[in-house]
Amino acid sequence: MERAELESTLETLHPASFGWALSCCRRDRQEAEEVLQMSYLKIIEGKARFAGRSSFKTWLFAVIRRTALERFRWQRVRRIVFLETSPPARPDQILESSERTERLLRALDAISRRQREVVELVFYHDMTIEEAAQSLGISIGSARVHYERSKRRLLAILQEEERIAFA
Amino acid sequence: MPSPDDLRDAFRELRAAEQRHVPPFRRSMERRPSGRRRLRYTFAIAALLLVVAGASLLQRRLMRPVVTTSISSWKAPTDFLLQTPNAKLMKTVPAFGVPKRGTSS
Repeated sequence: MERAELESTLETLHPASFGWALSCCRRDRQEAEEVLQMSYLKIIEGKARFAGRSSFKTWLFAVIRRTALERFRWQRVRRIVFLETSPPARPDQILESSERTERLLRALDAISRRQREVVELVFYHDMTIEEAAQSLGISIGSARVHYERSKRRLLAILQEEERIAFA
Repeated sequence: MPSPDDLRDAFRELRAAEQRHVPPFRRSMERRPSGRRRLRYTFAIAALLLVVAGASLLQRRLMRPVVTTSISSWKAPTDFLLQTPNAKLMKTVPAFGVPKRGTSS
């Protein structure tokens, strides 16, 4: 892929990529921007190359996820070496968020990382389970199990929240 | 009771809210001075210092004169524990009728 073509594709996918970066960074906007920038640089500088084994979006999401994980590992090492305290979580403040969105975010916080990733790829990014599995580097069977479990768990949490809200 | 469709709607709402505040693409493409790179240099220097300190310690240890002790002259450091008070009494036979040193009769 030529650089111009690459940049144009990245620009088209930028809003979706930012949404996925937010998800990978537990909705920390600043972190998400950093991760996205590092991912783009990796791609532009040729450190991450698209081999055409999946769709570009699936591959790009895998790069963003890997970059976020690398960054978190690096931060953990830095905290241990320099005896730093872990920074306070800075979840993205969505000013116009509705009660339903807030309930969903709380429910997403209560499920495991893998389950959250699968369910967000399917429901937020409209991916198929197969595409989600490719992005996460897991088997389709495993992705399907995570999807079913996370969906059930999210619905149960939301139902419980609704019950408390209306009690 | 929420259904999978409600879940899908909730995600759609979340996406719409988040997509309203996407940073400009060009900003994400700009190369900013990376804190990571700076940290990498700090780590490299710290690692180098550690290696130098380790090497000098090792060298000092190797330069120390080696003291060899023959097995016959070696004494266990816990030997003193075996020495009881008045151990001499146990090692000698008392003699009868022999005047004590320092007495006249």
